Amino acid sequence: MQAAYLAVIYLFCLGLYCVVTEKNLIKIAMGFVIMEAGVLLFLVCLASFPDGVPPIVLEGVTSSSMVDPIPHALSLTAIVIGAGTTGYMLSLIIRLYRQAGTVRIDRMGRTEQ
Amino acid sequence: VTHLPILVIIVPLVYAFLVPLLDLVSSRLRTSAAAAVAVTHLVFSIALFIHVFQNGTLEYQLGGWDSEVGIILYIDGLAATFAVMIALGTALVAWYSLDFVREGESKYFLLLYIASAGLSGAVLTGDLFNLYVFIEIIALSGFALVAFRRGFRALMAAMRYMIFTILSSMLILLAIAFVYATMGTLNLGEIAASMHQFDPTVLKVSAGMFLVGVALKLAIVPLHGWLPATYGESSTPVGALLAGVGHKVPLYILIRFLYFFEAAAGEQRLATILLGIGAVTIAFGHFMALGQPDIRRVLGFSSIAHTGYMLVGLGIGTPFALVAVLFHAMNHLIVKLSAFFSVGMLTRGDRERATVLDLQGRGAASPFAGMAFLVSTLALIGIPPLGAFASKWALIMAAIRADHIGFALLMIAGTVVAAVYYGRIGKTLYISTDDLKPDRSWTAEGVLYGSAAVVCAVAFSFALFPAANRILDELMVFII
Repeated sequence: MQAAYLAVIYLFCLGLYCVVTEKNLIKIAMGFVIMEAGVLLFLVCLASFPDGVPPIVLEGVTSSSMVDPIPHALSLTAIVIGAGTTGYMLSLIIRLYRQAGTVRIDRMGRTEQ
Repeated sequence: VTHLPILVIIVPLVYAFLVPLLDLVSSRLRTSAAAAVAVTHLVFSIALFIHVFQNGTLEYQLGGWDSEVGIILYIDGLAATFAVMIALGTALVAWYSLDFVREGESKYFLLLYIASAGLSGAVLTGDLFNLYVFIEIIALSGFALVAFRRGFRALMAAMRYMIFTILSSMLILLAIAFVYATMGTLNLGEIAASMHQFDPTVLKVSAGMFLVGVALKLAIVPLHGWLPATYGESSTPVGALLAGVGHKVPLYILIRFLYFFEAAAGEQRLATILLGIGAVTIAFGHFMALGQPDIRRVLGFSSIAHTGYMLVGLGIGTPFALVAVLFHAMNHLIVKLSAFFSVGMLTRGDRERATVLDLQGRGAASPFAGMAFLVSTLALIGIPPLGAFASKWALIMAAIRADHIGFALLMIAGTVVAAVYYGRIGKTLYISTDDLKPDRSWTAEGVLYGSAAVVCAVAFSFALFPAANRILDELMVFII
């Protein structure tokens, strides 16, 4: 469990570092996906505990042994939103690339003039 | 009446998805439906406001599930007020867009009304995760709208806007995950009620991330990098939507979660933070606007400065200051919309850039738009008897009553700087290239400094403005 939370911190910080320092738009998009993976892992970790069972009402399953379903619902929603955002971002990058001939944000400024 | 809250969100959303179908029938039908839906949305929002005004806070359970398992909409005076502001703003933008949208561009209306639903939803929801979803809806339609029918520079602006906004969404999502981890609930009311269970360290971390996320969306100064380019490069109605309406949602979130940030930072320290950032934001916004050639960017920087005014008001923290902030937000909404619209009309719609020089002599060519622009800049400066004067004056009074004389002086100084840069634009508007002789412009500058002096005199005279005072008092009772 500890290791999972360390992974959350590592992924989020890695993604943030990537977004802040990279000039390459594709790498910035990758940074966002990595950050998002960190947040999603955090949500999933919140819900899980040793020997937890899926939150489905069956005979012989007590509600105390079920994992919390809400974080799962949240992460599903976040995945969908993330997919939409990433898709739009990539399409924007493609259009920028067609016009500027580069995906590096620092070189785009020059082609613009 | 019982389903009024959800109707406010659903009406624009349903229309948005009907747009492609309506467009198949005829584009006239699509356009007239857009106007009608905007009015309906506004009427429902006003009805909701009246209902809440008469019957008090309203809780609406989505799908009939109660708040323990379901999601609720929570509408108090603050939410209802913002809902009306948003519906009014989006309705105005939609009407302006009727003329702007050409044949075969119906996806513009789709994006606009999805944004409208998201904006309304974000202020009405009583669920933290729902708030995140609505923020993302606004953001996604916003990215697409910024890049709509514009060139390479707008694509760059959309990209930049996107990077800042996704970063802010990630921080907000993580903060929400922290809140859920500690509290086990996402209901805003329950979070407020059980604040004391929070582990102080976790509270500080999550409130910090949340505050940075909101600050990114509000474009508070060190995090403002996306705003000038986004306002400057997007087309007129989109710029108006973002500057006038989109700006109000993060403001609402900031006000709604003030107690949360207070618990995290301590009341005194939060006030210091807000006052400090607000002062820097005012100064930066006004001084950056001074040297801007592009009018939409001037309006963008002035938005940053006005955000600063609102932050200072929140930092002062008295009920009177809070009402002044809300009043100023309303005025800012209306005035920014009219400023963007008149710039759009003066520069004939859709040019890549609208620099101050492009406006030379345009005031005489289109007198109505010229007057509208002049009036809105006068309001942005804060000239009586326009509404923005009353709210700015209320903010300054709030600062003086709370013994923050320095901030009152800063706001007055900001007003003078605003008079200089808007005056420069107003001057160009009525001077054609040929008679740009020094003596003429000297007179114009005389008028300019004269008006600045009048603003100063009025601001210093502390004369009461009775009508505004009465409205403020009544609103104060209702909202707080």
